[in-house]
Amino acid sequence: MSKGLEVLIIDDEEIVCKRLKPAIEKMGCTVETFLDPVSALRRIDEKEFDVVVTDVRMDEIDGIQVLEHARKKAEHTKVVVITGYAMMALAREAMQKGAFDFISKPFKPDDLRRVILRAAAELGTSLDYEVPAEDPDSK
Amino acid sequence: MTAIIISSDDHDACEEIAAQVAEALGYRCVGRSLLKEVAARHKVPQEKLVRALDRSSVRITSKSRNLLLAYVQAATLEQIVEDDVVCAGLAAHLYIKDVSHVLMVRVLSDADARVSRLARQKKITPRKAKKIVERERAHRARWSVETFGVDETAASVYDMVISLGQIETDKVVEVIRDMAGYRKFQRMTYSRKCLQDLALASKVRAALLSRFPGARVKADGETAIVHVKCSKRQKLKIAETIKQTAGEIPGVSLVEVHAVK
Repeated sequence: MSKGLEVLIIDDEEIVCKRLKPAIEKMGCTVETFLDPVSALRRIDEKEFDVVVTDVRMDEIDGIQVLEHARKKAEHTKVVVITGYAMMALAREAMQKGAFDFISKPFKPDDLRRVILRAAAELGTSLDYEVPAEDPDSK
Repeated sequence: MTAIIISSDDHDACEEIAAQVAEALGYRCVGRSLLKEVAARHKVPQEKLVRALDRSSVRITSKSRNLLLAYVQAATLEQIVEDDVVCAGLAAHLYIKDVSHVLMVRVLSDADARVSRLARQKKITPRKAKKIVERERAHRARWSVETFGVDETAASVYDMVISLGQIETDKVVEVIRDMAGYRKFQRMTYSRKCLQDLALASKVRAALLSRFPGARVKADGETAIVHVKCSKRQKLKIAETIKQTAGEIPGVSLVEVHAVK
C-alpha cells in the first residue's frame, strides 16, 4: 500500500489554496493550507512535511524565506516555489537556496502534480496516481 | 539537467570545446552539422545558412539573412528544448534569453596565438593580422546588435567568460563541466516552459517571416502572439492568413494577431 505525502501549501490568495488542496489530495496526499506565512512557519516548526508549496510574494515573509526556513528545519523537505512574478534571477536564487522546483503562475494542477510525483519518487514513496504525459506534439 | 551554449570569437576553438564538454558530460552536441538538416527542410543552400551565421553580407540581403537565421533559430531551439545538450556555432547565445537552466559561456581566444596563426596563414605581418582580428571583432559586435539587438562581445550576455589566453583548453572543459552541475543551472518547470515558449515562437516566426518580414512572435503555452505592421484596413485579411499559417504549427492551438503601426 502506498503511503501518501504530507504536503503544506502556503499562498496568501485563498483561491489558490482552495484549488490546489483537492487537486493534491486526489493523489492520496495529506494537505494543509495556510494563507498566512507566519502561521505556516510555526506549523513547519511543529511538523515535518515532505513537500512545501509556497508562493513568493506575501506580506511579512516571502517565499524565499519560507524555503530557507523549511530546508533548515528538514533537509529532505522538497520545497516548490510558485509565483506570478517569475523571473530568471528569482528562479536561480530559489534553486540555489535548495528549491526542488519553481513554477510560474498560472499553471495547471497537472503541472504541480508532476512535480509532486517527482518529489515522491525522490523521497522513496510511490503514489498511486498517474498524470497524463505531456503531448510531445503540443510543443 | 542543463543546456550549455558556448560562443567564441574563434569558431574552431568553440566547436572543439563544445565537443569535449559534451563528451565529458554525456550530452548531445549540436553544432554546424545541424545546418544540413535545416537546408534540406527549407530547401535553401547550406552555404547561404553558413554565410548568414558568419555575418557575411556578400550576396545576401538583410531580408534573406533574417529569414535564414529564423530557420536556424527554430531548428536549434528544437534541439535545445530536449535538454542535456551543448550547442555551439549556431548563434544561440543571441536568441536564447532569460532561461535559467541554460548556461551561457563565452570563450575568448588567445589573441596573440590567433594573430600569429593568421599572420602565418595569410603571409602577412603580425601588425596587419592584428588589425584584421580587431576589425572582425568590431564587425561581429555590430552584426549581433543589428541582427539580434545583442552585443555578443558584452560580458553581461554570459554566465561565464573564460580566456584561452590564460586557461588551457582541458581546464576550460573542466570548469564548464563543473559549472553545469551548479544548482542554479538545473532545469525547473518554469525554465522548461520558457524554453518551450521560445521554441514554439521561433517555429511560428520562421513560418511567417517570408510573407511578413517584420512579424514579432511570442508564445505562451499553446498560444502564439503575433505583432505585425499593417493598416486597420488590412488587418482582418492579414490576421486570417497569419492564423491559418501559425495554426498549422504543431503545438499551437490559439493565435492572437495584433496590428502595430
